[in-house]
Amino acid sequence: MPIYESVMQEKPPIVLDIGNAYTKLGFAGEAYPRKIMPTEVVLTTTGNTKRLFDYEQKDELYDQIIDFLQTIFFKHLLVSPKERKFVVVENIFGRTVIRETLARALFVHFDVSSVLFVPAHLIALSTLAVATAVVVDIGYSETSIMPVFSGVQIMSAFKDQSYGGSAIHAEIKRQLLETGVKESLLTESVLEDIKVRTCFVTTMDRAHSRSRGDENQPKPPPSVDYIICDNDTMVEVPGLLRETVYEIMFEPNNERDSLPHLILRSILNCTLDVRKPLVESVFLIGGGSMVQGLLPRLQQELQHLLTNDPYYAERFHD
Amino acid sequence: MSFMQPSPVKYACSCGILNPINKLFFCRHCPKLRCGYCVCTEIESHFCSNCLENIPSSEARHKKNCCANCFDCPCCQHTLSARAANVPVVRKSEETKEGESKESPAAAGTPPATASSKPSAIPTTKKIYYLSCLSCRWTTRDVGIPDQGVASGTWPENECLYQARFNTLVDYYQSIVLQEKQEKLEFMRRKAPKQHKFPSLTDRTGLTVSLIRRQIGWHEKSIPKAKAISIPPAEATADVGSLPEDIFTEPLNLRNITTIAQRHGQPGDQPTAVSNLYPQRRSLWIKRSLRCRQCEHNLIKPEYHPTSIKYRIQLFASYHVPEVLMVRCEQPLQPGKANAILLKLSNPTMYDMTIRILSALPPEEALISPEAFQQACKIKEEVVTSSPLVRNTGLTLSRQNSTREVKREVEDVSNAEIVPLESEFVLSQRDDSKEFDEDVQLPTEEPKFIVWRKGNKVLIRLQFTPADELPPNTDVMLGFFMQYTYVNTVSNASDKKEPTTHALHSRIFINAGAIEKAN
Amino acid sequence: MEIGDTYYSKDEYVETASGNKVSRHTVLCGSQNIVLNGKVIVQSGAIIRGDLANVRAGRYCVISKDSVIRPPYKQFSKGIAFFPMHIGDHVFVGEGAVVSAASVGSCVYIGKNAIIGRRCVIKDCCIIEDGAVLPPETTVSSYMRYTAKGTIEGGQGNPYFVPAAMQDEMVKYTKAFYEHFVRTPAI
Repeated sequence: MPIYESVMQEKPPIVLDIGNAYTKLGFAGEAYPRKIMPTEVVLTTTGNTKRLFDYEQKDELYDQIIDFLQTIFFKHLLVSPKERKFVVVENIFGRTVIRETLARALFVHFDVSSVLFVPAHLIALSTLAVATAVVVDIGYSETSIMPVFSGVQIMSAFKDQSYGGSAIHAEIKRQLLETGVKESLLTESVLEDIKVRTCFVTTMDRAHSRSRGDENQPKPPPSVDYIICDNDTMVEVPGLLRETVYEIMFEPNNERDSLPHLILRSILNCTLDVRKPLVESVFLIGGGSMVQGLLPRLQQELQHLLTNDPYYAERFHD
Repeated sequence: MSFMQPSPVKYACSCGILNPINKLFFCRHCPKLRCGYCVCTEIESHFCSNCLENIPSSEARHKKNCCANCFDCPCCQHTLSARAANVPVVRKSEETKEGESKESPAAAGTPPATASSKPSAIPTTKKIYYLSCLSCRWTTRDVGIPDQGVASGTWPENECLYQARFNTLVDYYQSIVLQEKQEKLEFMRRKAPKQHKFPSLTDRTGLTVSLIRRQIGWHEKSIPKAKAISIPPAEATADVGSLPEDIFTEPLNLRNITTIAQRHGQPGDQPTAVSNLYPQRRSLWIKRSLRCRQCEHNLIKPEYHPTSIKYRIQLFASYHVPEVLMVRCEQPLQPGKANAILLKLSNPTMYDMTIRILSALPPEEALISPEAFQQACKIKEEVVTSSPLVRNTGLTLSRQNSTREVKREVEDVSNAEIVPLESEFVLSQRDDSKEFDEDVQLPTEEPKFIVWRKGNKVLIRLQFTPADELPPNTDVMLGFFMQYTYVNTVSNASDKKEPTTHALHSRIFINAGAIEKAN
Repeated sequence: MEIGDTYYSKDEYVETASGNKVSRHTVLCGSQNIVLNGKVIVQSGAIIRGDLANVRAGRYCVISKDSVIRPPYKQFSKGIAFFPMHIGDHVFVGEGAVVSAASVGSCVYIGKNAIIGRRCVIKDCCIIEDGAVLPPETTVSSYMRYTAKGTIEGGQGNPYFVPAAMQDEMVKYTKAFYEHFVRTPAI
């Protein structure tokens, strides 16, 4: 098969997924990324570390992207970007300035041969060989929902809310400050570590009885003594915090914009004929979706809403 | 120490970025200053920074840029060292197991599959090896990896759980691409019959290849149509597991839960439990060579060998451009008050240099705007690409591309007025043997701004006035142009053999220090 | 920036025939095992443990105040053994640094209060940042910069982190340091 061989012998394209918190990078045709690294750049001018998307002027962003790509190519991937093909996974509603600057850096500075931008929600489905699903991306700065039907994104049904990883960090920080922890200790990396290693999503029964303010509140899980290595200090992470920080994703309110509501509303924004296959497959991606207990909770919540909420009940059960 | 502290003297690179001289290069062919931003980086060689072994690039690609022998700690990313332990030599394998488990209590809890592989490795040798991190004390025994008989033993690879599924996915998508391409080819063939200059046999006789083949009894040669492989799609499941009940009652042991950095160290499976961390193959490093974007000549090219510190090509700016060192200001810096700065200039080249210090460029040179610069580049490109040989090899595209980076305007950060030197002066050539000569001061007539002179070094006094409205503690920046003669020993034209002399200029900014508080 | 003169008193420093300048306020244990190859400056408060094993330092080295040069040891089943330590030419050891490396190449800059664990191998033209801690048996290959955060940056040909002309820079710096390390002029 001559075509097949020519496809294989070509240098594999470089795949970049530059997220707000972490960047995933690797080569096409490999099962997992070569490297997952913080989206931070060591500035070559000063040697300081800075978040990639913190910038004031466009030129500054351009220089930072160049420094960032330099590290990716020559420290991690160890390939010359010149005349290589690139696949960039992007948020379809991401900022145009970032996309344009990235493309300019790749073409003008690194002299690459082609760049293919693929929407994150759509491309995630290709790993399942499934063409229809509601894709929920729980990222760092936001949670976004995009229904995909037969490999086509239903743009009008796109929904996003700001409860991503950074909102969870803010919630952990708020609760810890209430217990009297010094703010200077709670750096972004400490908050992230507390989130990843101690927190989880609780069950719906416990969360509901807590929000109703029942007489016999469920006993909070044991608290954890967390050591902040840089300062040699210990912080007590209360059990209540561990259990409740993720509740910001599920808080019921009149806006109907908690995560389960958002998923259902997004499906309702699609035409009637596609709703059934969509509601049958919900696909969660993004770092935030890896937290323990999220999947069962979301399932409980969705089922609860579909049977008990009259708004959804009448629209979904006919 | 110029490379450990921010240097007060910065040169404007030809791309417009300010840099200290030790980060700059000098392209002899252009001849212009180049910095890390306006060069093209290439990979010279791969090597492992721990065992210092050179690894050919094909092998590096095959090994996924990892060293075959060195491992990193999955906990703290430091290098793992092989540690030896002695086990009493016993003939029978049962006894070996006992001795072994005494030696390494952590390994005793290994699953039977790994335990069974032990006896084959142990009875023949007296020593056993395990990997240990000397930074965080992690060992391979912690996670139940069996000890090895040889120091560079076969440590388990952490396999990706869904690799098989991924391979079928890749096959599936590739078959689709293939099918699409074939159909396109078929379509093109039918749509546009081949245009020949001369009528072929087929045209005249109506014979086609397939017809002839059938007549002489060969089987049909038609390419088998690629069939799309069907792939079972992933199925949505209603069973998403449940939160373990004991999470509400059991205390959490942070030591058993990996941090996010440790998870990302194993991107294939991203384990949450510390017991699933495995030694990671150490990633390779590279030596880079830098190339001028404009003329494609190498600026630096290191030697292959990982331990060598030499270069085969080294066009550092400090070898070609007079170096300016700031010595001191004569008086405390006050806004609007005349002052003078002492600068030490040295000539690194083997030819005498004539130097002028100017506050602005001579008008004819100042006219060169970025557009004109790019225009000039284009003309040069055309000259290069007009040769048919180059055009045929397809090099033209890369040549044009490499000069596309936009030149920036030099940001004028100076906030002081300098008094340009009234005359030019000569800086004599570098002569290493003079270092050992007696210090003989020749009574020569010197311009009065020259304070001191020895060999290829000169100390000059430059007068300046900081701007009037500078608040205290702001840095005073002096900006000036240094024009110097440079003798180029390589020339672009091959017919000229003798060195040519250029008058070059560099724009220099000096941070003279902060304005002192007015008393 | 031009290096300023550093003055020392005539009484404190001993100057040898080969140009070494060694403070009297140092601890040089086992001095018969210490070889300074000339033009080496050992400043006050420095400790060199020649009693453990041989220590050789190349030309134009600077061993700053309160630093410790201690040959590395290795533990065997029958006890521990010390290994000789080699330091190349043009090496700068910052104030308060503890060096227990198996070998230090030429043109190496070791920052203030850096700690270099036992049996580390520091190749030529490296920078160890101020306050960096190298775990035992670390190898730092040429043109690398070991940061205080514990990461390694640079590499030969990388225009940032370690200057491409590190060799020249260190030669120039250590020579200038030696030339500007002068006796207090008599008043």
